[in-house]
Amino acid sequence: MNQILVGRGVCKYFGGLKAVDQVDFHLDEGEILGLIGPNGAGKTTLFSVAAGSIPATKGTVWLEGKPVSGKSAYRSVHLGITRTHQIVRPFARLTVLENVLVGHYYGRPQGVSGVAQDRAMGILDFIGLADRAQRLPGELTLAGRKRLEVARALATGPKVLLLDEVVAGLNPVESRRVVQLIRQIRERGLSIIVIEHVMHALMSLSDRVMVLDHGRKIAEGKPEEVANDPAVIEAYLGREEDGKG
Amino acid sequence: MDQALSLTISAVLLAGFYAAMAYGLGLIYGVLRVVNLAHGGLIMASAYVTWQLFSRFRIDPYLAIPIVLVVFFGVGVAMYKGLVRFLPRGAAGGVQSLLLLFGVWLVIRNAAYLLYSGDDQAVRTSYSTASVRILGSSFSVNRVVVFVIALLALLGLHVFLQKTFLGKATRAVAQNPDSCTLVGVDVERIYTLTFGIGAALAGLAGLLASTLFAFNPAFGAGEVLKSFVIIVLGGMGSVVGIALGALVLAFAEVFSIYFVPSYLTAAVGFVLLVVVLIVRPAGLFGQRELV
Amino acid sequence: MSSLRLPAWLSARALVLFVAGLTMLYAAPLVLSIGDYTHNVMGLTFMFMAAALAWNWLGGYVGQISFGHSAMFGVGGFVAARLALALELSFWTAWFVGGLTAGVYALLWGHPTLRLRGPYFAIATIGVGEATRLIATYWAEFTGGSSGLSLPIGQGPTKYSLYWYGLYILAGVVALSYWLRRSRIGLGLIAIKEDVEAAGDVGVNATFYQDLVLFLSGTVVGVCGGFYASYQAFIDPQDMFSFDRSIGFILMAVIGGIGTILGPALGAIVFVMIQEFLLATYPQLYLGLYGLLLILVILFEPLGIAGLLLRIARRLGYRPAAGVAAGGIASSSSATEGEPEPVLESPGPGGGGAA
Repeated sequence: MNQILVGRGVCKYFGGLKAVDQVDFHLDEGEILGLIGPNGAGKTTLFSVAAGSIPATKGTVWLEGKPVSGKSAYRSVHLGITRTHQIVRPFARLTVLENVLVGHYYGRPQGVSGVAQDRAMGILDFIGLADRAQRLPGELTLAGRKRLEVARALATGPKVLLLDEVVAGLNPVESRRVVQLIRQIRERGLSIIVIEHVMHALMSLSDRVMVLDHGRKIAEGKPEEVANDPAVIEAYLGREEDGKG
Repeated sequence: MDQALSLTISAVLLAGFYAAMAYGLGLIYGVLRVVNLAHGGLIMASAYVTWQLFSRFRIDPYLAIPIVLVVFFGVGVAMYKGLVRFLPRGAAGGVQSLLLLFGVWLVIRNAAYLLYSGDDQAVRTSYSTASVRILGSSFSVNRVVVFVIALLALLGLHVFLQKTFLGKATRAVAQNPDSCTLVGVDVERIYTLTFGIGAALAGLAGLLASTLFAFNPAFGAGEVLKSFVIIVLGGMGSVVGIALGALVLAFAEVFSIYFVPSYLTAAVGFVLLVVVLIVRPAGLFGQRELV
Repeated sequence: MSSLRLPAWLSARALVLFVAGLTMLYAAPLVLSIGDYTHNVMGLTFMFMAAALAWNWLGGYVGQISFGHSAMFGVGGFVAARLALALELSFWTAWFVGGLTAGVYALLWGHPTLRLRGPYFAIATIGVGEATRLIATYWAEFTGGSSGLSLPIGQGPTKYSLYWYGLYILAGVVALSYWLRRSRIGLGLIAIKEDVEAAGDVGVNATFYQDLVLFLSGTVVGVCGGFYASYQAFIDPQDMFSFDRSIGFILMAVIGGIGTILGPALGAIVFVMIQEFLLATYPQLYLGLYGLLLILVILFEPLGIAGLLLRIARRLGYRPAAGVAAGGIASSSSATEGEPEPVLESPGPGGGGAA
């Protein structure tokens, strides 16, 4: 199996706080990797490091053999790894279509082929927002805004997509649709890492699951294996329930 | 050697004034996230008020401190209630507050031009020319008195913020206004209070400045800039931070005469600001990120 | 961006309005009898409109408010003046070189400071402006110190002809403004202004684009400085680099309507008119008046005069296209709650609405 994204000894310290501590991970091409862990485990931080939003304190992340962990966010996007945000960050004064166009125009240094408008509308169609292309993000529901976040990320033409809690906060119907969507994105040839607290969604979606706790990797393997791993159970139940999943 | 010592004392004295000047700006920014560009205007207005109290009513500037503090506290409260509280909170309001208060500064400046001429003024008391000997060098009495007053003010602020309930509430609001609302702190009242104190401090700084420097309606731009340099250097988290920042700036300015012609001393602050911002965006002592 | 027939950044209506406006202004002095004084003031106004629009690229499009643009105005002016005096170059060349020098200077201090956001950048620019003024005033060999520089009469353009040169500069700047706003660069700039981190996360090289805009802005303002030098046939550093001059650019753009194209242009006109009127009757009131206007704009009408016009137009039934997003100073976080922010885009000086 071709490993498209690899991380070795990744650390991110904020002063004394070890948000991510000596994490090794890999993502196979075409794989969906689930990333779970209690709140504050360091999942989003790991995303931020992998996507270049913040620099790693130690360790390296490689995308297709090329290091990405030291680069600024936009360069990582150009190399082919894009992340979404846990709390969505649409460009509020641009329409849905324009938000996607930003991803399209700026996602790759040499530009992406095809007429901008057509490709953007195609992505919106795939995502299910085509009918709201001229709306502002503020006019969308939360589900809509989450989809917009994903659409915009897709427009950058990534090889690896990091999805941060796209399902959280959605009702069961919407969740099912988003899970379907993620599968379809994988079918388009992308490799995906998914952070999720909604357990059934994540378990049904992932080929493999990785568990973080207090910044360290405590388990990795098939969803069923991880779900029954005592260390994982303790990590979740050994502290207050967060009520999700 | 003698000169170095003299300069050092000079720098320390200056730092006291700078710290008092910067604190008003830093407090307002720290708690409200608002950049009070009218700070310069308030300092200038206070200098004029002090001058008027002295030349019209024969009130010694240092004795006028209580009057000025109260008056400018009121001005601050009025500014908050009348203008600032309508702005959106947080990062979104940053530039808007900047421009709004800049507008206020322009109005204050114009008022000064209308009431007084554009000429330089200064407060000259009977003891203005007297001097005091410290460790072998002479310093103007005013400079020493200003230093002492500034120190007292900063101490008072420190005690207020650390020991009183209102002070602690203020610090809490600076950290997390939403949580404060949840525990019953009247955040609006704290904002009003903070703005009032910030303005009062600006008033104090203006009063002190009037005894040290000549001033005219354009006075204040340099002071705002220096205040900002100090905040960036030392952070607005504590009185100690501001004091340290003030010391760094004062020393840099005073000792820069060895390297740079005197008319460029004012530029030293700016260079320091840019260098620190580029090299250590978290400020010299590692507080909050400014970028 | 919603039109599919013309180049993305050009709409037929805007182009027509623009060319019409340009032609009218070009021909006006030739067919109407405008007094000499008014004619000259109009020429100067064209320059200020261009400068305000250029300031707006940085302040309104990117969202970084500069309080130090007089630094570029002065650098452009003095470099142009010095070149004209020393080498007897054509004034266009002198202005151009002055402008480029100003642009490079802008990059020098701007590149490291642009990564500061919001108020921090603004404060840093106050420092830049003031430091530049200090250095320039005392660098007497170059700027003439407090006595300034005089340009010999007879060399260089007449005040009369400056009307048209100002108009050309303005035309170029308006075209550039429109292109910047409507092209894909415009989208990127709005993204940067809304949320610079999220913009980076979708591949926007914020540093490069901010630098680019600052360079363009500084260059244009520098050219305007050269124009001003020719217009007055005299410049001095206290005036060219003054804080008041920097303030002027901000006032024009913000009171007129930050982020729009019509706004800074209108703001400049109002600015010059107030200046001319007040100077005669109440010379001391202009600062306070501007301050008041600024306060009113921030509190009540973030899009300034342009915003007011838009409201009136809306009342009359006109609906602007929800196309490219608006100006305004507030950033996205306040816009996602409640009412969506109004979207407005305006063409050149001839028109009054979106296309």
